[in-house]
Amino acid sequence: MSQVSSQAGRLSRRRFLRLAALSAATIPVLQACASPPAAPATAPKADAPTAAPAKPATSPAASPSPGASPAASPSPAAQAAPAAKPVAKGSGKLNVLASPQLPWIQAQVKAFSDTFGIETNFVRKSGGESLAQLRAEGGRPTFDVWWGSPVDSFISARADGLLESYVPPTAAEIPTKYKDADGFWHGIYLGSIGWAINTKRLGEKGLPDPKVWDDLLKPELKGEVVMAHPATSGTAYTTVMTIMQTRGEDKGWEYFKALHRNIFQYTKSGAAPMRMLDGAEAAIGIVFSHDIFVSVEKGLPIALTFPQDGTGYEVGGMALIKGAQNVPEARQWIEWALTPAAQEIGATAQAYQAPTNPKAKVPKPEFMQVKLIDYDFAFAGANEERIRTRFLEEIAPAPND
Amino acid sequence: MSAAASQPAAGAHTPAGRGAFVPNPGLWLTLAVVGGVVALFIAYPLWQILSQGFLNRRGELDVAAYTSILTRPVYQTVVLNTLQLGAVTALLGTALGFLYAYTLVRVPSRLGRGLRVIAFLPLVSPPFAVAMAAILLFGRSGLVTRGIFGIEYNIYGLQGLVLVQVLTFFPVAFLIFEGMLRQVDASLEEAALGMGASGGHIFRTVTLPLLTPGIAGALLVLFIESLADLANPILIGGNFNVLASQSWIAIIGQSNFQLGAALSVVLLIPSLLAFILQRYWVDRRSYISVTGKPTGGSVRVADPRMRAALLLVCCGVAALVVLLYVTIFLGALTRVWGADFSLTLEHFGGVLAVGQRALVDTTMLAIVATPLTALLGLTIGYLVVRKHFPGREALDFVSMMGGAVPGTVLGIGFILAFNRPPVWITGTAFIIVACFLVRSLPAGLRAAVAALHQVDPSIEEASTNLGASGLTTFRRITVPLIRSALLAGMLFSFARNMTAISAIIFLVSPRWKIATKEILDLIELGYLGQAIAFTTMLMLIVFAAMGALTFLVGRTGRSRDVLVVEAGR
Repeated sequence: MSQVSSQAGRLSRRRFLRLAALSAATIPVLQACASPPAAPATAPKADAPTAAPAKPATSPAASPSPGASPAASPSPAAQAAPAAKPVAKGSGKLNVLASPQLPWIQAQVKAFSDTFGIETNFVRKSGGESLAQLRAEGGRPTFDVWWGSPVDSFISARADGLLESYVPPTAAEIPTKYKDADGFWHGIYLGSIGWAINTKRLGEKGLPDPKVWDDLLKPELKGEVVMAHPATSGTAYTTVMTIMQTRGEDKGWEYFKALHRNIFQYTKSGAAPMRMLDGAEAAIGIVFSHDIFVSVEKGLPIALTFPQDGTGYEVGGMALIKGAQNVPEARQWIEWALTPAAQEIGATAQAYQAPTNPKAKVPKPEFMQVKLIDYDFAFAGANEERIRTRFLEEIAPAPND
Repeated sequence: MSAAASQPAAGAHTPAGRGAFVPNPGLWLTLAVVGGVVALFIAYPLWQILSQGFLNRRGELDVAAYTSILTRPVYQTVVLNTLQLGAVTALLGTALGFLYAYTLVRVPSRLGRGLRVIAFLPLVSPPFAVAMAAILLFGRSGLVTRGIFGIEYNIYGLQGLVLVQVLTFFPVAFLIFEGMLRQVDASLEEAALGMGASGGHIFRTVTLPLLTPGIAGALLVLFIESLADLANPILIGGNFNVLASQSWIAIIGQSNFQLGAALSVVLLIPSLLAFILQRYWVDRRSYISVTGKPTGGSVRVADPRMRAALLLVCCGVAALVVLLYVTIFLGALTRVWGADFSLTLEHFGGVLAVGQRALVDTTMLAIVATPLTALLGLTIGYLVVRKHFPGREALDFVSMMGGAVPGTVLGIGFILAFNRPPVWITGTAFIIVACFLVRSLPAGLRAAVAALHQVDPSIEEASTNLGASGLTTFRRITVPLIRSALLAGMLFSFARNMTAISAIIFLVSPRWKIATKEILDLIELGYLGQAIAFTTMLMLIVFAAMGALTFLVGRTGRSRDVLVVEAGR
């Protein structure tokens, strides 16, 4: 009933072959795009920074006579003010692993690539995921720079030998407590843990307004608290650490066992509870204050409060990844990201974290002017894997219906 | 259709009209290339999964991961959850698919066409669409649950997962049953009717037994689909974890590759058992050919009350599906669902800013992978059906496995296998295209095999006898004859590529972004409106591309072929 005429058959066959040929033709295109695996083959590139003086031709301004005047060779003046010129030697590409809010990452990446003419790509992963990715890749990283996860993760990564030390000249402006003594990581922002309260839901259900951490354990709040899962989220890990560090580990586990009864859901990312707060699916979310404020700004019935008995905070870190394939570009990024100008980009993209550089303008100083605990970053970093796994295996799976 | 008549196509896997194995260089070369691709991208990653489960971070032999799965309560719960969800989804999905197909075939009405199109929607839409809409409608601040009934229903968990999975996967069962019901020999039921049996009696003693293989097949296929599902457990599972999501957390959260691999193996066992059962037991017991001529059009449901009831149920289901998709579109235009229902286009603007790259990348890579899949599927199908060579069965089985194993398993296998020399392709477009290729190969392969069974080998032999080479015959005789089936295979490959998540989620890189992963990120970051807008745009691209492809190659992709492809999943 549908005998295809030979003419039509040949025409469509031709069309089919054309399609097939087209797909075959895309293979070389793909090949051209497949630069990352090709990179290890051109091994010397990884050593580019050490080899740089051997090829002075590419940076005429900085090295007319590298040996002649040793005093001038580090040229701190030239480096302190990062000129808008491309880096001396490198691929002109940079891969960034980033954790903050998407609009901020995009603004930051765009500003960097516009300033330096470096083709910058990024992937956003939460803090826990980022660490997992680096561990998984074990010395063969896809990324060059890691930007904006809580430094707890950086401390763990350093212990695992996944980072490379680099102290840019701009690091001098960063206070000592916000950077690693050996230069393996530098803090770029500060953020405090806060509570997001959906006032409408809280009011309608007549729920108690929490003031201190123990208020979250009240039985009336059953199924009303949302936080992220510490196994995947740096935010949640900071929350867990806040309790553990103020009460000791055993009391801390007891607290989360009790809190679990009131938990509506553990989300994957730290900011994800805001999705449920915005939609009034839950009354209270434990989230970084800067993430909560985005919903407040939207005009939603969300209040940002802080536990009166002290809250934890994060320092968002940044590091050069060991085995990075684009080291000069990565160094350029690190040097630039500590400058006041680079640290003020966040506020333009609704990211209200406080900059670590004292010269940069603080968008929302009140977020850090709350009662903060004496957060022990070294302890948090050293115990990260053990505590995350115990939470995942013992706390989160318990039935709470 | 005249060509198909002389070949009865007894069973999909019975080799037909094959000569003895005659080694010839061209065939050898083709076999080597095809076998190499299949071995590298399917067998090798799966081998990595099997072996990595026994290796700890230092590369020493270690059974710690398996011990903890066997002894820790958390993992035992996860295994039980997985099987429970799989069983419930398979049962309900099969029942619904059967009801839907029975109604469409046996209760002719003007609604039939529309109902059929609606059943196709979940098959070609992105993974999060149904779950997101379900949360918006039936969640704690759902429009229906809270807005209309004033109750707070917790949709996160098993209940929500079952709802979403049944609505997503019942069309697969529907297509299997529709094909069978259309081809079941009407004379048997007519004979029973003639001898005075009642409608219900005939249904129980004649119709159902005839369809038993279909029921078993649908149950198994849905069980496999449910186990493999990652997107829905992530989004709507709440604290109800299944193996797919737990192995994903093991990799991305705990960076414990050993545990992730071990959990994958545990997930692989029931999936593979179901796959083997379906393939070697159910398929061989098929009383009717899925590929023959339609014959069963004449049997009708006689009882008018029964007809009305069946139609009502189907319309209800279809209305629910439509409601979910309308919700998606409206959600994309709503400022903040549940709090501020004012209309806005800001989410689409946001997607264009955030996700343009991902949309372009995904579409481009899917376009590249689709004809490659068709070509590979056709080549393997041709070799398997027409040629005789050692390892034929193994080639067919391994090719099908790439789509049958859960996506997370394959994705984890891909990073384990390809993040190191000698084949170091993580971070490139290659790995994504390879993943697309492997995941949709079964659709292309089944289409080719089913179509080839309909083509009488004597036509090809005539060409060879007239002096044409094997390649020329393949190119000028075989391919044009089965073109429409190939197109149908390509349509589904493309839709599957565009909406894949469970395997591809492990393979995104700075250079190559995948739309479904971006959607998941947006959901996780709390940009629900943008996520929904993104989903809408992805759906529109899929629909547009399917329309364009159909138009481009001519309207030859008849429903018969589409049916064959889907039944072969």
